[in-house]
Amino acid sequence: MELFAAGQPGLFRFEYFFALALGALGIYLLLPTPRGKASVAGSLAALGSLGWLCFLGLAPSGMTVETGLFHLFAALALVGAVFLVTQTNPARAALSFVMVVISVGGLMLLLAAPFLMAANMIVYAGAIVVTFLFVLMLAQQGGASDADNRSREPGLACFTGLALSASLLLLLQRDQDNANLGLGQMKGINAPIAAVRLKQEEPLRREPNGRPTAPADNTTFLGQTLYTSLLLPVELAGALLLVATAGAILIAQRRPGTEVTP
Amino acid sequence: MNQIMDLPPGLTHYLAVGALLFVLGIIGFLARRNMILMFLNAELMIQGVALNFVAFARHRGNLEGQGFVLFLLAVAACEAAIALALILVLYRTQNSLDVSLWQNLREEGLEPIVDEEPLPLAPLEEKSPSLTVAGPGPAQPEETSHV
Repeated sequence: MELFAAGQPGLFRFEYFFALALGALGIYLLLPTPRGKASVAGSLAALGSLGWLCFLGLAPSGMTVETGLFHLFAALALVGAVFLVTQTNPARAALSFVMVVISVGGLMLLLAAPFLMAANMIVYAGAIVVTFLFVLMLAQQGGASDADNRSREPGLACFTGLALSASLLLLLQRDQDNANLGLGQMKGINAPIAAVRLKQEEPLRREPNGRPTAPADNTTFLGQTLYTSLLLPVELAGALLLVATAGAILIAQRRPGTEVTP
Repeated sequence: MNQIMDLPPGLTHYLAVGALLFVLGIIGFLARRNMILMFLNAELMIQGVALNFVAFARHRGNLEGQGFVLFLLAVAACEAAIALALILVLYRTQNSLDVSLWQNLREEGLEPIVDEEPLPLAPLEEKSPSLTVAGPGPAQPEETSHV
């Protein structure tokens, strides 16, 4: 169950680094270049890196339905993200972003957040991606262009990603090590849980693994949270949306006399 | 041991997936040159962050994290609207979505990035010979219903 097998604390186990490096190499090979991209080798490297990370313990190893669904959605999200990063055709990239959004929605369902799953899909897959596609069709009627068939410094970008992912995993692993040793405040999934604020009169129930139960009526409780403790931010978000709408109209407006000539 | 094996995925697994999504978004944002794709990659990063928030909300057993994701959605929608308006303006000035055409905005003293490799020319499509249509036209399918 533990994400990282118990080891000497503070030492990064280099298998993870090598697996991530393989993934970075795969994405480097998959990024579009003028010479065309090495699709087969790149996909093999990226998939191999994903499988290696799973084998090393980055994926939970249970036989429950929840674990199976987690595997499915996590793999779909990551594969969709790789497609999004490496597609030459921007319209296809937008569609693979829809795949990522749907898979993340599945993960949110597993995390007992059905309202967020729906909101996420409606806002992203429904509104934002469609707007992106509109602008894409408005701006790019001549098919693929110079901007799509080239990458800007793909090697440096992949190196940045490798460094960032390795340090993030190192952080997660250190946390896990501290939890195993009983240092630190968080102890993996058995952390002491703050009482559920909205249901304080009820005794806090726990699932067998120590995780607190989430209220089944997610939407009701989320609404209560939003309009009691988060009321001011809700109003501010509304104001922000209004300002952004006005700003977008103002920016994109074509006014006579202000045309910029290249 | 058996009971441990059957536990559902924990906080760290979701955090790892969120981190990988974020990193992929960063790679795409740095490496792609199409402005629209760059902003799609920024949205990908936001997805990773939202997953982290929801995982922490589940872990702590309260709904503050989920509430925060709603604000994240609102900010992402604002960002998309403003970004698309800006992209439209930039497209009108340069007639291209390529972000490298705006290199004159770079820092002082930096050399502009020049593409050494030319793009391969698209193969010329040979026009297939066509004959003028002769004879009676093909039979049209008859309408079967007249509702």
